[in-house]
Amino acid sequence: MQTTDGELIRRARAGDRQAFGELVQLHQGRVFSFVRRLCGNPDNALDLTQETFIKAWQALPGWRPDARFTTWLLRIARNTAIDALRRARHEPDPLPEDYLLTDPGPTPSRQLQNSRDIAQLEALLARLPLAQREVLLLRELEGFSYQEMASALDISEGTVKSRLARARTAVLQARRDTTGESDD
Amino acid sequence: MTEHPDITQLSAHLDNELSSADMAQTSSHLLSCPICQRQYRDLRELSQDMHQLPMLESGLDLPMLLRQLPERQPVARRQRGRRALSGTAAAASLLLGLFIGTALHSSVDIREPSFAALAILDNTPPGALCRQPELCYLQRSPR
Repeated sequence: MQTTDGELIRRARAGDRQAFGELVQLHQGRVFSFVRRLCGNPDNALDLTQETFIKAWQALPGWRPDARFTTWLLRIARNTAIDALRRARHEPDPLPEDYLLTDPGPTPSRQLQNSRDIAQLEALLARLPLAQREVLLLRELEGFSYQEMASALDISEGTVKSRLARARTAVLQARRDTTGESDD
Repeated sequence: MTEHPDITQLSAHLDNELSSADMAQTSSHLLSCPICQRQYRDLRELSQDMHQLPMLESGLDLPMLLRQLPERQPVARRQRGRRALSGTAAAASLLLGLFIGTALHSSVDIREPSFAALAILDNTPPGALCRQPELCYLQRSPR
């Protein structure tokens, strides 16, 4: 994957649109998922994904292999989404109404039981403040290190650490509130 | 039992982002503290649940996107241009340095003092022969 990426990036930097198209195919799901969860609206997310790749195409000659391509790409996606949210001056779209569900409780092999559980977690994520949501998504879904997050978000590693802890605490608390479970 | 680590420490421990000393201390505490064990378990389960969130289908129209990509200069030509620019700049710097150096050298009048003038400062001990008689003994000027 990394080797394929490297060769495709080299060709795309030299202006090969076909190679860039293959890069888009490889990464579009990841970029779209991140932007969709960050901004909430699927239609906006599609436009923002497209805008991200156009910006990436223009900036690609300046890309240096000292950063992971995914890190670089998601940084562009994040900045694009944040700019769009600022332009629109609104927080992400509200939660679906059916997020108040019962908790199935922990099982030996912890598995989200069905699409309703996934929807519940998505809804809890959507309730987080933007700054907390983005660190949680980058850490849990993209596997960014604290250093990579600090670089992508232009904040210190200490801020990443505390913001991530607050995000996790908030989701856990919201889950307890939903299920009526006590935290002591 | 050591003091309870706060949630930030537990969260960073889960991510393996603590220093080795803090990792060891937190791990040691976790082994003996049921309260922190529970918090840690909640964090871990949340992490596991997050990993199960699916990647979403974008439905991006790839051919249209590729058509919309703006033209840009191929990187090879850019690099050649940048290299040529660097070379020109280096040559200009060298020429400027030579010019300034030459100008400085020609404008400063450096005259070496004659040997006779310096000889008076010589550390010839008293009673020794004078190395420059014309400076040591007065001479009558010709009338």
